[in-house]
Amino acid sequence: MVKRVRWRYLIFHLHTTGSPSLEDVKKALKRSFRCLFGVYGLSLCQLKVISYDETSKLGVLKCPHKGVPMVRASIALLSDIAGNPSSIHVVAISGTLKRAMMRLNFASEKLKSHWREVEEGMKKPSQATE
Amino acid sequence: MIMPKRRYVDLHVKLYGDHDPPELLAKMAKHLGFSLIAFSLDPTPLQRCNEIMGEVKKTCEQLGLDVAFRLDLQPLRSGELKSLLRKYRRTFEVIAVKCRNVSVARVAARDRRVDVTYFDPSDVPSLLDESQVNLMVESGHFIEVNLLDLVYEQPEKQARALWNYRVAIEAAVKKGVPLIFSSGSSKALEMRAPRELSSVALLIVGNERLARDSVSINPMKLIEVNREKLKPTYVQPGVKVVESW
Repeated sequence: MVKRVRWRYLIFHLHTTGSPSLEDVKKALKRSFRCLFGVYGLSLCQLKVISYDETSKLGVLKCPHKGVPMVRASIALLSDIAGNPSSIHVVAISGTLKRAMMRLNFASEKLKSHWREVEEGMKKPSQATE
Repeated sequence: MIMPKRRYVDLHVKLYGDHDPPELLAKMAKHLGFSLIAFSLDPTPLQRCNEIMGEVKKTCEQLGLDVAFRLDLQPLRSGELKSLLRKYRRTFEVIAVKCRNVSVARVAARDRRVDVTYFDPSDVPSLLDESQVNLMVESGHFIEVNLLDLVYEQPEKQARALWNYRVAIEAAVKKGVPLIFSSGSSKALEMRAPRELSSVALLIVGNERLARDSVSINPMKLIEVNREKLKPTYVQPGVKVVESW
């Protein structure tokens, strides 16, 4: 009998100065994972981007539950997406897609209030001290 | 039994060189879920440094974020290290030393005024040997790894840095040197969430509990002990002034 895989759905938030497309995000995630764990690691941890909203920059990523620390590590070492300096923050993790989508909507509402000013600040040039 | 909620700390956010405004860094830290961040400052001139500390403290208080200040020392000679320690120890909550050669590393490991030592990834295997680890265990030092030292464009360099850290730090942690894993960032986009940091720490130490402690319990303990030491009532470990007459 085929062993049932327990999936996890990672709700992520993209921090970037640019506006990457779904394809760019997919490519960057897979490149970072393959760079750190290789093709064998990628075969153990089937990554799939379920959804990504370009306006709120929130998305859902699917992976097996044993692969969550590996995915988090590869996400931490990701530094740019489509040539723009970026970082990805895992907002929450869920065991079902239904619950993940609920949390995604909740996170989207929550971010509306305070994220805009942080994003504006990131676009400004950094200050230098001697 | 209800376990208390973990409080996460980023012990290394740089406020020198090319950096984002402290307000933005504090907002980002709050968004990522940190309870405390330690800003690393340039101490010269000390007057300006004290002004920055006051401003940053006020901003962080408004955000509901605890803040600490640290000093990164990068001396080339042991004499230079000692004079800098004499000058700045009472001003900063955390003193960190980047060890570039053996003589500085040995003095830093022996000196109780130093809290944290960190190394360049290429120097780790040569500097963090058995005698260095033994000295660090005796004086109760913390060892720090910065995420920024592991972010490379070329996978070969990244692999080399990970290998060097894993070999040296795994041995040090086994002997009882507490590990602190920080971002080492100076920009908001270089900061990472605590669980992401602990996942990278897991690649180095290979133990989930130790990796989680390196971003929460260990740095928090260091800050609490040092805050106690900076109080005027502190005399020495285990001795403090209760009442004076």
